[in-house]
Amino acid sequence: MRTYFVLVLLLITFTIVPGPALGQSDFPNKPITVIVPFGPGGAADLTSRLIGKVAEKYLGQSVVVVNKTGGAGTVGTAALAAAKPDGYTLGTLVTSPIMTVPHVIKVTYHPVKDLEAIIQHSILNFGVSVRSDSPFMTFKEIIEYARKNPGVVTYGTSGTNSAQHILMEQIAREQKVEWIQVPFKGGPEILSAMMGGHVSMAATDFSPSLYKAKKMRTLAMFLNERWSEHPDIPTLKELGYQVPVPYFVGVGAPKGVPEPIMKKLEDSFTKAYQDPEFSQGMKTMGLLPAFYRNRKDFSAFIAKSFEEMGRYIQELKK
Amino acid sequence: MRNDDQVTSLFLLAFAIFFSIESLRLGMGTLREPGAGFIPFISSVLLGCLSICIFIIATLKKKASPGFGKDWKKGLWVLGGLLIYDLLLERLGFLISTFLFMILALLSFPPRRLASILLVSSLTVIISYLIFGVWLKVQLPKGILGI
Amino acid sequence: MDLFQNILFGFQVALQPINLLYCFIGVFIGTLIGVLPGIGPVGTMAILFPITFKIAPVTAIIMLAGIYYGAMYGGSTTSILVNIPGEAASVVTCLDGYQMARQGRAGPALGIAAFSSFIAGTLSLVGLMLLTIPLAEAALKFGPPEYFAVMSLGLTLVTYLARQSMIKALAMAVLGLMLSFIGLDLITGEPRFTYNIPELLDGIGVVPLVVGVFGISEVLVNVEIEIQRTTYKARISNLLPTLQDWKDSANPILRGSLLGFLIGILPGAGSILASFASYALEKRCSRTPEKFGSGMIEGVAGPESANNSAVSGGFIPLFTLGIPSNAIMALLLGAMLIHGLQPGPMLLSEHPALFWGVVASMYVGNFMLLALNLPLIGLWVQVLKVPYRILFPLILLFCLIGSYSLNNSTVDVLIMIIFGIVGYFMRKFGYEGAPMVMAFILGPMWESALRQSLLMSKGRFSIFLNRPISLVAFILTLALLLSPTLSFIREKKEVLKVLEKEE
Repeated sequence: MRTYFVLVLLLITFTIVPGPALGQSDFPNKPITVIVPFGPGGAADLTSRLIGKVAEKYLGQSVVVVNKTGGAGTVGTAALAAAKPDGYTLGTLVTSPIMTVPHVIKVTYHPVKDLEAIIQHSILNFGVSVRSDSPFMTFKEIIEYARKNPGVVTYGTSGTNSAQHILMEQIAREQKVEWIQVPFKGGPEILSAMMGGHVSMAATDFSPSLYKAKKMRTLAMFLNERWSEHPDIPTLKELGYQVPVPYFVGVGAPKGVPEPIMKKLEDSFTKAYQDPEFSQGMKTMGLLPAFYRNRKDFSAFIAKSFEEMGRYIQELKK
Repeated sequence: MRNDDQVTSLFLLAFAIFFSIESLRLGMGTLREPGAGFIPFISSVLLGCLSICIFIIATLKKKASPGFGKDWKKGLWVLGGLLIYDLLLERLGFLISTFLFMILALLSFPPRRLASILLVSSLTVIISYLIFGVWLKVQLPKGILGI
Repeated sequence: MDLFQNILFGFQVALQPINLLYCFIGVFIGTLIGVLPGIGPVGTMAILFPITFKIAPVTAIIMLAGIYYGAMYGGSTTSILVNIPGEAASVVTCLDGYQMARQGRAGPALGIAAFSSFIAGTLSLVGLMLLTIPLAEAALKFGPPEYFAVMSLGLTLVTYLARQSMIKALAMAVLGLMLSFIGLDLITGEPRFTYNIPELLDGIGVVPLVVGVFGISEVLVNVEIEIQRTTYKARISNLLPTLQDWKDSANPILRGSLLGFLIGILPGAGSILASFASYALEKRCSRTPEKFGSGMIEGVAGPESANNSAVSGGFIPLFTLGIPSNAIMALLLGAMLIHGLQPGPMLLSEHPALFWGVVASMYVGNFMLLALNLPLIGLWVQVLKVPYRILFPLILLFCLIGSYSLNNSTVDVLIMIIFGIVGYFMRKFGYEGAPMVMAFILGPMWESALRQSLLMSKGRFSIFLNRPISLVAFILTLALLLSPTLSFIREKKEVLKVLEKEE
């Protein structure tokens, strides 16, 4: 008698509990994961969460963000490249682990061949900032000071071989100055170090709160054009420094996702980008400028930039 | 007469040597600018010295061995179960794997009443799915059957 | 008084029904995940993050904060009951808390843990209210050289975690240090000891390590011995701490609260370091240090206070500068940003409701947690009565889910199992886990700080001595290192004196 009872219980267990449909009928029929290669609360992370949330409306399923940090973004990007290409695991595509790091050290993935772009939704924003009581008022002044005092000026970055590092070194070579990179674990540590006076400047994420509170001055931004939110900060390009590094934040997938699913993903995320909730959210956060490239353009952009950066970094190594 | 501390300290020494060789390969850099292998190398040398000390003390003192308990094979059985659970987890999915694991683990000790084992296993699967999968929204793997 | 008005204002915000509700939800979930080994506040907060979109900013922060300090309350439960830490910060509580449980004193241990957490939580909130700005500025003064000095001090404290053979404990500490180097090197960006295994790029996870070394090994050890035995005295002597317990715990609680608060302010340090440091401090201050590890209540009261007050300390850099001191704070930062709030110097003036409301809600939350946890003691104690043959599979299951859920990775589970085996052998042969874990956690920060400092100073070691804070820390470190030698010399001198007198 007891055995019957148990068997019935078993049957109930296996029929009721696995409610979700068996088999892949309509995409998406379960939640989608987005791997963010940087820490929670950071600019890339928040932007990904925002667009993920808005995209939920168009995808019909929830979007779950997972952080996999480390190695200037390589750990998370490697995880994305190794994920099953069924459209349920996506990732945030960011500059450093795709454009710069792979050219300098060996990574387990090929940034162009193993990844598939979906859309670009923002431009990654980095700036060179100093504490507000620093004697440097413009970027030029730092360069001049560094030229006269080699090896004195220090700057913090969020990882060796990250885009900021490569760029600052390039500027150093062009301007014939010698300054020292100090790598930190992430944006917050760099900003603490700068605010505490331990490094001369920070080449990292822009911190709207410190800037607005006038505790720090941002001397230049790594963008191609001035940001509408902060029109008073010059870009490095204006100041005469060539900035070949493409800064982007977008959504991507591992290579091999079936075409109809890719189309649906591109479609949903594009609609999410165009949704006023997204642009409003971006404005409220004040972290990054929004920018759109569709799948074709974004892929082409990544591929082309990858080649360019490859040559650029080869030059640097000489 | 060998005793356990000697054996374990030798293991540690072996690990230390292995680690130090790998650290050397990473590059020591200079004292002024330590490379990636610098501190690891120093640590492994330190471990090596400590393990030699342990070895010497063990040789001089000769303690008795704690030995293994009566049921040490059960430990192996449990461990094996855990390993298999981990390997099958993503293939069979959370629900089935957990169910099988619970049965296996409960079978390791008497009294082995099939009915109560099945009951406890099912309950565990249901409740843990509720707590972790539904409430805490942990992503529990779904296997080939889609559950 | 302005402060008083602010507090009143804060309570007005915190006591609104919706905020009370979300505060309760937060602390409840927090306690739950604190109890479950492996699953921690970061993961849960990240998952619940989307909910914050739909509610008011203050409410969202109240809930997320509740999860964080709630987890610190719950973490000690499994540490005491089954020697398995629910949180990495609760590892130290295993050392003496579990022993107390084996002596039939699980109730008092759990009780003191809850009360210490409450008192420390409340006291540290006072600190948060009064000392926020000056402490934030002090925290900024900690750059890489200071961190190196403080971490070195921390590493010497490792010796205080040893219960048996000192030399074996040291070996374990060095081993922990070495294990912490696995992963991507911060300074050069190159992988170390990863052998092309992508999951190791980020290093060995602290959760699989701790859960394996403490949790899985515990089960393996117990399974091996006669499983029929009842591990604990089935009759629990009493459920609440005695007067003597209170007397013993009073100073540890005060010391732990202060120490934890200060450590919590330092970015990157956090509750784990606070609890370890407090344990070491208590052992140092105790008149019977050799009894630590056998069920001294000070070893529970101090660390539990420290890890809770570290939570409050951690809020300071976030609220004052907008700089998060750990991943959890970073999530809170994100939540604030999404709601258009800029944490930072302007926050206090532009949005006083947020700051004071959250602080007041933390008082409320602490009360809720005490009210939640105390009655639960009776329930938890019943858990001990479940036959071990049913209990251990459940323990293993929860450990496994906890390790898996971090990164949805079966490799993490594998690491847990491997360290379970390692931990088993460690227990058998007298090698201790606590020094290893502490060194493992301190290792990366210590090494990075050293190399960053040398980069900053272009290789000159004088940087460590030129700066006041690091100089002080180094002197302390040296003092701690030398003190066993000094007391050894003193003992010998006394023996000599006695011998002389006899002549």
